[in-house]
Amino acid sequence: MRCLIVDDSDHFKEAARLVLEADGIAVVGVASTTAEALRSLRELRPDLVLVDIDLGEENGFDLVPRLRAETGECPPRIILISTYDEQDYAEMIASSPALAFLSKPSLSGRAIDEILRRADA
Amino acid sequence: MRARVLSSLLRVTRPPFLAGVIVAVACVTAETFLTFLLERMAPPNALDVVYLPGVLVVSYLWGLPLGVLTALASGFVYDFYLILPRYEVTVFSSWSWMPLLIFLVVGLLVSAAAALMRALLIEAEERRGEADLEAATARLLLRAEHLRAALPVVARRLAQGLGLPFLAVELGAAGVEDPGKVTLPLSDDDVRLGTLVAPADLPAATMRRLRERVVPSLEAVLAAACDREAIGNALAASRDELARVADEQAALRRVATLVARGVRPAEIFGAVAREMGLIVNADHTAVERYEPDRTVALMSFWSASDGGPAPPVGSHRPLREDGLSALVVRTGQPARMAATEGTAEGAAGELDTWVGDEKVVSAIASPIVVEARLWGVVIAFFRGLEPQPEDVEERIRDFTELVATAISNAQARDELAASRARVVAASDETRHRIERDLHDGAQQRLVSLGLQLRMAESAVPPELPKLKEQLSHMAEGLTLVLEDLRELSRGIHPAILSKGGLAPALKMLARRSPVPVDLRVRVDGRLPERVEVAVYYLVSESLTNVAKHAHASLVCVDVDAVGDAARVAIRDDGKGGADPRGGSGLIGLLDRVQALGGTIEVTSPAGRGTTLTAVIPVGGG
Repeated sequence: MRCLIVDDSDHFKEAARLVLEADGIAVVGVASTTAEALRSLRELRPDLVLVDIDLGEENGFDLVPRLRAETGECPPRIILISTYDEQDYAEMIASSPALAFLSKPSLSGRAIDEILRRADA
Repeated sequence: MRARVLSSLLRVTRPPFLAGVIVAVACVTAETFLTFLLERMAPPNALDVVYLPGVLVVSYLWGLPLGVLTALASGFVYDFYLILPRYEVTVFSSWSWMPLLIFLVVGLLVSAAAALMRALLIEAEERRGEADLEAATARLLLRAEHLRAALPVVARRLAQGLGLPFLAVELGAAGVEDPGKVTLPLSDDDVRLGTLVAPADLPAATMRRLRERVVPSLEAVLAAACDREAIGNALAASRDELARVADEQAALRRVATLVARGVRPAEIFGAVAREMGLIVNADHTAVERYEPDRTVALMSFWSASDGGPAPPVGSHRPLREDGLSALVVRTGQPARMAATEGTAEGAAGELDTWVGDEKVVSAIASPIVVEARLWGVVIAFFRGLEPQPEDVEERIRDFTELVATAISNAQARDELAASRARVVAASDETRHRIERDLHDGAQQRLVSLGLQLRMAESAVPPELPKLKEQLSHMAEGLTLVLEDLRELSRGIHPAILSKGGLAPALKMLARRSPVPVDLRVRVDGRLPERVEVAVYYLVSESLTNVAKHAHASLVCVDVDAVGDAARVAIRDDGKGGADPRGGSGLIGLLDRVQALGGTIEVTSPAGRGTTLTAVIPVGGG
């Protein structure tokens, strides 16, 4: 599985890459901004995009629909991630086209597999 | 009848001499007949007394000479008829002249006494008349509204009372050309009060009476009347002055009340222009502000009459160097200007075009000094040609001081509100930044550390279970730290507010509230951040209070931010009785809301829940 991580924290991107690759998920690219994310998406065509809710001045919720629009017919699976509590953003997560929300401390290949399996079921 | 007899007895002029002779003859004849009648009862020697009343009457009414003649005649008739031998005059022939002589002496004495009594009576009557006259004069003069108008009446009464053809009383020294008149000066302690004009041909006695008795009393009364008039005038003047001062104080008080109530300066300018115009009797008044670009802005304008269009408030005009406003700028002092003849300029060198009233001929201006800086000027315009009183500047200054206070207050209020808003904004800004720093720095690093720790945990070979367990323990601990940090940064600033706006943030609050919340939010897009933050904290603080104190089973939160204000209502069904002043949380909210120009109201009747309502203006940048 090819994954793109969109997050403005270099520390997290590095740690996430290690965690995911250890769990067998190939991190094919990382992006810090909306523009980078869209460019990487076009170039790399990942299967999965992890989008941080908080992208500094920008906003993960706004990015999700644009990622989907960019890829047209077969959009990647998108999971929102954040250090914030899911409860805080419950409404916005629910109304977002993203598959699900994953808390950053809980990030692992297994957690992602579980989300995808639930989405496919 | 009695009065007529009395008045005839007291008449100064005597009855005709012939009547006196007839009365004397009649008296002597009647008394002789009476002695004939009395002769039978009394000895003739004693009957000479019968003749005394006749002597008394004649000498009283016609004077001493006729009285003496009557006494002599009575003596001879008595001798002739009653002294023996009868019917002859015995006085020269026998000793019988002795009683006759005694009678004559007595008769003479009676005559003299009667004449004296008459003189005394007449004198007394005259004095009484003079006293009456004096009293009447005093009454007339002291009661008169205007002394000058009362003088002819007094003179007429005096002339009447003294039996003179005419008299005149003039104030001051009156020179009389007419040779038929004589003047008597009337003065009080060497101060010439007036002049008494009398006929020149008066008998000496009357003239003496005028000089010695009438003039002194007239002088005393006239002096008193002059004093009274002076006091009356002074009283009237001080009454007018008092009324003026009272009016002025009332006007100042009305303006001061407005200033104290903190009404808008524009309203105070209007009140000052009107009140001051009425107090100094101006035809127009204006309050003007000096602008940095050498123009003058009209802040308020008032006219005594409705004539002509007033210049529009807020309009600017250039500051003319020869004008009154420029003079005040140069001197910093009150100033006045009057139209000089032959100049085409308006009265104050600027009024013709400004006020639009060509009749204005003078103007007085006083500077408005706000905190030691010349702010503006108050000008009163006058149409009257006569120069204005000297104290007008002083009276205008009282009003300008009130204007200055009002401006200074308004500036201080604006500055306070602005600084309050700045304090709130700065604190929000700081909290926002701290939250960002925590999120982007510590939280991300801790999350990364946690992930790395879990990787390390999974990489530990199974033969080292102790290490694996310790690493797992550390990862769990780190997760707890992260949760604490998340709580902390949420309290510092709700990130969801910046990311999602008011509705998601309030829903988050409702979800986290221990007491069930019935939330209704109507928001049209995003609001200014400071309003969103204020509403968020209002709801957040209220929900915390409800959870802590209210023992409520439900809270209704109603936020309506469609339109020009955000209206927040938070009602619980708890025990009520909350003190809105208690709790620093609510006071902090009050500061925050008031800094935005909003209001908060809390009602909390015991047993009937607590309701907080707040209105926060949305507009205004």
